[in-house]
Amino acid sequence: MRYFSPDAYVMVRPATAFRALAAQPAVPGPWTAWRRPLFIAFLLGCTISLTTTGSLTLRLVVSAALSWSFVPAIEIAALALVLHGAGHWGRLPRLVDVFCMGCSAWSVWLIGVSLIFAAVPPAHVFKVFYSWLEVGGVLVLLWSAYVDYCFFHEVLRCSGARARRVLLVHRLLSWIPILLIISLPAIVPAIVFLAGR
Amino acid sequence: MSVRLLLIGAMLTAALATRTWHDLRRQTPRVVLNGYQALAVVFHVHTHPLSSAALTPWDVVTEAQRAQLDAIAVTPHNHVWAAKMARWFSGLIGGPIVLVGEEISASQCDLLAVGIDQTIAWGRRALRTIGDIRRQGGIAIAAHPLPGDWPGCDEAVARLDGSEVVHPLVFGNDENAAALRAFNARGEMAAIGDTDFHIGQFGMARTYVFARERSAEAIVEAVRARRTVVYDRGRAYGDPALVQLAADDGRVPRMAADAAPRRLGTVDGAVAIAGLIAAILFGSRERTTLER
Repeated sequence: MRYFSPDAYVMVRPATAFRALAAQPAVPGPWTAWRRPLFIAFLLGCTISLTTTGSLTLRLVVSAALSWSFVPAIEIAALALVLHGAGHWGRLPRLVDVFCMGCSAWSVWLIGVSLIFAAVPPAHVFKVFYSWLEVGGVLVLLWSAYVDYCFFHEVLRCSGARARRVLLVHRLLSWIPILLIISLPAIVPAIVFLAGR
Repeated sequence: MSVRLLLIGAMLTAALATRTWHDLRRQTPRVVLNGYQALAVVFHVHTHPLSSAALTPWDVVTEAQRAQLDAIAVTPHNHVWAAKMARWFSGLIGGPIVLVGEEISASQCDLLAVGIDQTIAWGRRALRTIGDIRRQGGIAIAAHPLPGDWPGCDEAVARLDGSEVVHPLVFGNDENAAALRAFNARGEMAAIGDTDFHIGQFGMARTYVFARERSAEAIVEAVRARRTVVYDRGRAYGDPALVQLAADDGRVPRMAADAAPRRLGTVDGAVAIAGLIAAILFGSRERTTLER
């Protein structure tokens, strides 16, 4: 892994990578807590620009990065909440940085979305996209849950059971607000109709 | 800064600069036929947040300009505030006409309410929902009425102003295309071509509305009078007299052919994707233990 980023290393071998990252001394700089969340927001902006126009335009990249920045913001707020009271508060910038390394599987999935909209002919683009959303999305969902479990287990030194609990709490604290922000007015009728059937 | 980071930065900057340079506002062609303005309209646009879409209300306005649309109806799920924001922003920048609307989850039938001003309650039967739309002076369009929606939409067929006959669901799926056409044929409804924008190419399908003037009110009146034409891969739907009029003139079918969805891929887009992959795989280094 000499030439690859730690993000790539975490994506492929999360337990080993997080163990190594936890073991190495790191002095957080002023950008430590910000650089990866900002990159995630930038990547979201790029993905939206690429899926809409097939290329990067400043107009869409900046606007979409800002309007979707609530995703990394909520992820980190949820992380801060689960870390609160566990004695990790002092090294939060470094922990945020290492935690965000675990988002690389989602990043690759997002780039896949960009690639689909850029490369697949319009007649098939939504069919391929929905397959990627369902199959690829579920795989990344499961793998990223394992990656985050490894983060809590290896970096925060939680026991297996505690790491699973913290993972679940983090998921609930972050994903519920994110999903509600994205589509609350569509989710409620869908649930009501499903419940009524 | 390392050479690696400089290279990644250069790739992304080049991709961004190339397209931003060409991302200029394009003039929307104006066509007048028999006294009617032929306006390119998309009646089904979702926005972010709160409507499962990628773009904000202001971004859909600028995208509509880029896609050479004369008007859009912003139709978020079960609310209208995003549509009002889009209308305000478009007025501010001199953008396309924005009609305020919403996609209402009626009982087993999704309806587009266009030309309204207040949010309409969801979950009611289609007929009652259409009554609420009409009371606000709006038009009701059946959104992607595939056979699963027919039981809920059927009772409202006589009161619907239009139904989507061309929609991204029909691309590459002849069964869906036939179902949307069959539903449209069940009543006297205007043919509507819509993008149902959540993500992807803006304006993939559009409706040519033959309006008396360039205004939101005139567009609503034209749909109510069934003065619409929709094109899909060489076929035309809608008012037969207007289809013939447009065919004889030739400009509207040419505009439709120019606007037909095509593969988005570009060289600068490929460079951007390569740059993003490189940023993830090689963007940062943690020395010491990870190098062992």
